[in-house]
Amino acid sequence: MEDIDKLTRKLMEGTAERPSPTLNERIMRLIFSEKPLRKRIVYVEPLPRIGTIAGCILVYLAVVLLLFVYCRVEGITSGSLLEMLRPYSPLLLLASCAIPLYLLGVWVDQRWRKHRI
Amino acid sequence: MTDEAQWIANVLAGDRQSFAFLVSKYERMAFTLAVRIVGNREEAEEVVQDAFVKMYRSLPDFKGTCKFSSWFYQIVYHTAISSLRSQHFFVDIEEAEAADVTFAEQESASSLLEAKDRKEIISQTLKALPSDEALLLTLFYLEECTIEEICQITGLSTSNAKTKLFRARKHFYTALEKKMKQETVNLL
Repeated sequence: MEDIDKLTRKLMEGTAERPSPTLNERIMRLIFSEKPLRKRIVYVEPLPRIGTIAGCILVYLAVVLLLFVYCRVEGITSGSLLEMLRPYSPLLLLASCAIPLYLLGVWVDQRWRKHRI
Repeated sequence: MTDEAQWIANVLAGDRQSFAFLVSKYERMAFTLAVRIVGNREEAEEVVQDAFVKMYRSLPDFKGTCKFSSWFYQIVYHTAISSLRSQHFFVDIEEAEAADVTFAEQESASSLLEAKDRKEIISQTLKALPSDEALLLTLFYLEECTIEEICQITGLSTSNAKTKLFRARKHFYTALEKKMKQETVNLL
């Protein structure tokens, strides 16, 4: 069987048909009348990993726990805590506004980039 | 990255000039396949032009899960079949087992290997065969496609492709032997 296959291959060698010499040129003319192709870029928003989410929750819980322990040890009540924070209130307000504004900016920027692509 | 992959990437990036490399590489085999199917050189050139334009348009959809050549030959095959305006290119085969190539047929064909006009005789023999058989022989023995690739190009099942190829080879050698005998008679 293999011998026949080999023989047939040898017989068929070089028997490809030769098109007219202008075929290549005609095809390229047709291709140049087509629009150039553009890469289709698909924007896939990266999803946060489970480990990242769990890590954030753990850090958040640790901070809350530390604050709670600190308040208990120092005997700080809610009333005295407000008194302590009063001088820092403008700074706290600024920080609490700046962070959401920053996040809003990032979101708007991402949306804008996505639409540009 | 292979040269071919680089040309494809360039074309996808908007460089139409790189398409010329793909044309140079595949036009001859595409033309050969088209000639085998439509049986006419002028019509085959039309088919090849259409196939290259179709390939250019669908290039962004080529995922690289199969060989680029098989993917392109599939386009050539379908374009050629459409130009025939017939949905049944492959002739249904009878159930009877086909005989294998005989020793005499092999001997006769072997003597042709050294002949100066071998290419001409083989081309004429292929033209005398049914189109579907000539196409299968070209894909398997000239382009060296595997059975899987032939199935992908033509849509035939594996068993069907194997059976048709077996029969095509037998018919090829029988036709070749007849031709050789005729040539000898003519010489005498």
